[in-house]
Amino acid sequence: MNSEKVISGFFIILALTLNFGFVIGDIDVIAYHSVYELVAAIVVNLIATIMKLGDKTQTGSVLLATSFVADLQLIAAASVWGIVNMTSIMTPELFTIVVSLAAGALVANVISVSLFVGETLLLKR
Amino acid sequence: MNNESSIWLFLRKMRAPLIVLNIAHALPVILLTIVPGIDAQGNPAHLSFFDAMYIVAYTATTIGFGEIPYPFSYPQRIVVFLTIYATVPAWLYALGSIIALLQDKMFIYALKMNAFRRKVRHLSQDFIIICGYTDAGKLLIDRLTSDNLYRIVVIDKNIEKIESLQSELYMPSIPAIVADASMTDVLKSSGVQSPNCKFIVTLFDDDQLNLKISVRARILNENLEIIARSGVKHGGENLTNIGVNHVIDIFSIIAQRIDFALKSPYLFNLLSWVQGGNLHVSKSDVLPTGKYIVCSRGRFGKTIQNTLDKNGIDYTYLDINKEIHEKVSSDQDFFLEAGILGASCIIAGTNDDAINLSIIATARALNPTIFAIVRENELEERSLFSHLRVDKIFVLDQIAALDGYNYIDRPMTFNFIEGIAHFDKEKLVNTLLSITDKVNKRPGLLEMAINKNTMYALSQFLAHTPVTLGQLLNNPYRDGQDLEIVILGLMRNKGEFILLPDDSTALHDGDHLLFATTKPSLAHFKTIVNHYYELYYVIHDKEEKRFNLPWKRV
Repeated sequence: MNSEKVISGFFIILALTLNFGFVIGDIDVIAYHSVYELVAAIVVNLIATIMKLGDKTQTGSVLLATSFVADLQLIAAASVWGIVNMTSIMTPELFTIVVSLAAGALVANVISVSLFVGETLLLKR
Repeated sequence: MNNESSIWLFLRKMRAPLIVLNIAHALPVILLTIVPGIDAQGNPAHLSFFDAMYIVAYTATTIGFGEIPYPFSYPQRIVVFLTIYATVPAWLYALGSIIALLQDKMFIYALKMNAFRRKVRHLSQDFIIICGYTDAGKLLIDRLTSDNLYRIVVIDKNIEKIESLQSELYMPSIPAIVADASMTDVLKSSGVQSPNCKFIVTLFDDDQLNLKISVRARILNENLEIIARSGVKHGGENLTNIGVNHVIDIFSIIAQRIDFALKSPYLFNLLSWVQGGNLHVSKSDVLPTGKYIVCSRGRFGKTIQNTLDKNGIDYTYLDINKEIHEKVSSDQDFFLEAGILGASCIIAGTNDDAINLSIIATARALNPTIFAIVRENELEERSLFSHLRVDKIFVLDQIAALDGYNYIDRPMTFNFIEGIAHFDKEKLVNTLLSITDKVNKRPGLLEMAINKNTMYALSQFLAHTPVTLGQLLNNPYRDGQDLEIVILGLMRNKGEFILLPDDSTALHDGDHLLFATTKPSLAHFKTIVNHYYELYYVIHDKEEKRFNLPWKRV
C-alpha cells in the first residue's frame, strides 16, 4: 500500500463526490443545492489539484489539466453566485448558470477519476 | 542531478505548504458563514461567503482592517480568534517555504539552464560554441564578433567568468551558461546537435578536458568542425585521432615562427601579420644566427630544440625545473657557465612568467646586447615584459585565439602561409612590398566568398559576363586611383587554391577571396560588387542604358 496514493486518491474521489452532490437535483431550484457543498467541492478540488502537482508522467499531466478545468468551472460558478447576490436578486434563470457550470466541473472530475483508476489498474504491483 | 527533475521536485515540495494554506483559509471561511451575527439594525444576520473570504484574507496576512461589515457578535469573535491563530502561522509557513524553495540553488540553476536552452534554440543563424571564457576565449570572441559571421554560445564552469562575459555587453548577445562543458547534456543544451552549429572550440589549458569535450561533441554531431587547443604536456596526435578537425598547437606555431624568422625576416613578418601583427619588417624581426641559450623544459623545449637543430643553430639547452628555479633567479654564475657572454640570443620559455622575467633581467644584466625572446603565459604580464624591452614576445593566449579565429573566419590564410613558405627571398620581399605599397603597413586581412549574400551584383553578373580581378581593382572609376586591395589568394569552388592571383584571373561564382585591404577601400569594393549599375560602369566604362530618350533615337 502506498500512503501517497491513498491520500491523493481520497481527495480526487472526494472532489468528484462533493461536486456530484452539489449538482444533483432540479437545476433551477436553489433549495436543492447547498452553498456549503459548493465551497467544500472547491476546497477539495484545490487540494486535489495541489496533490497532482509535480507528477512527471503523461497521465499525471492530463490529471492536472482536468483538475484545472474543474477548479475553473467551480470557481466560476461560485463567482456568479456571489456576484448575483451582491448586485441583484437570484432568479431561477441565473441559478441555472451556477449549477450548469458546476455540472461542467463534474464532467472534468469524472474524467479525472477514471484516469486515476485506469492508471492504478495498469500498475502490475 | 539533472535539471529537469529539479523542477518536478520543486513542484512536489510545494504540495505541503499549498495544502496547509488552502485548508487554513477554507475552514475559517466556512465557520464564519455559519456562526450568527447581528447587523446594524440589531437583526440576526449571517456573513456572506464574500465577506467571510475578505475577512480571512486580511486577517491571515496580518493586515487587520477590523470588523467589517458590522461589529461581530461574540460567537463570531471566537471564530475570528481561532482564525488568527490558525491562518497567520499557516500563511507564514507556506510563504516561508515557498520563498526558500524559490531560492534553492538547484532550482535557480534549472531555470537558468532552461532560459539558456531557449536562447540557443532560437538562434536562427549559424553559430559557434566556445568552451571556456579564458583569456584566449575572450580574444577569440572579440575577433569573431567584429566580423559577425557567426553567433556565439559560451560555456564555462566559472561563474565569475560568465558574469564578466555578460558585463561586456556584446552585440549580438552571446548566450552563456555556467556549466561543465564536458557533460553530455550540457553540450546538448548548447545546441551541439543543431544543424546551425558549425564549430565547437575548446580552449582550456587542460588536455584531458579538451579531449573529453571533443569526444562527446564528435559523437553527438558528425558534421561539426571541432577546434581544440592542445595543452602543455601532449601534442595534438590524440586529439586528431578522435576526429578533431583543427588542433591549436601553440608550441608548434611558435616553433614555425622561429623557423620562419631564421629562414627570412620577410617570411616571418608575413606569418606574424597573418597571425595578428603589423606588416613591417623591423630590426627585431631579424634573428641573430650566433649561439642560442634556450631556457625551457618539457614539450616546448623539445619543439624549440628541433627547430634550432633543423636550421643548424648552435645552442645550449638549460632544463629549468623546480630545483634550478632558485639558481636562475639569484645566481649569475649559472648563466655565465652556460656561456651567456658569447651568446647572441636567449629564449626564456618556461611556463612561469616570473622565472621568464628573471631570466631576461639577469641575461640583460650580463650581456646587454643579447636578443631576448620570451614566452608569455598570462596576458596581465604584458607591461612588465615591454618594460624590459624584450625583442620578441610570444603570448600564448593571443596566438591560440588568432589561430582559432583564422581557422573559423579566414581558413585561406593557412593555404597562403603554406604557399609563401616555399618562396625565395626576392619573391618574398616583392610580395611584402606589393602589399605595403598598395595598401599600408597595417592592412586588414579578411576572407569573402562571391555569392548572392556577400557580392550580390557580381554573382549575377558572372552568369553572363566574364570578369577579371584587375577590372574590379585597378582604376575602377577611371580617375587613376586603384583600390587599396591586394588579393592574396583565391579558392575555387572545387578547392583549387591560387596563390597571389594576378589581374587577369577570371572570377567565378562561389570563389573565395583573401583580401589585404583598408576599411575605406573595402567599402568601395563592396559598393561596386553589390550594385548592378555601379559594376556595369566599372567593367564597361560607361553607364548602362536604362531607357532611350525619344529624341535620341538610335
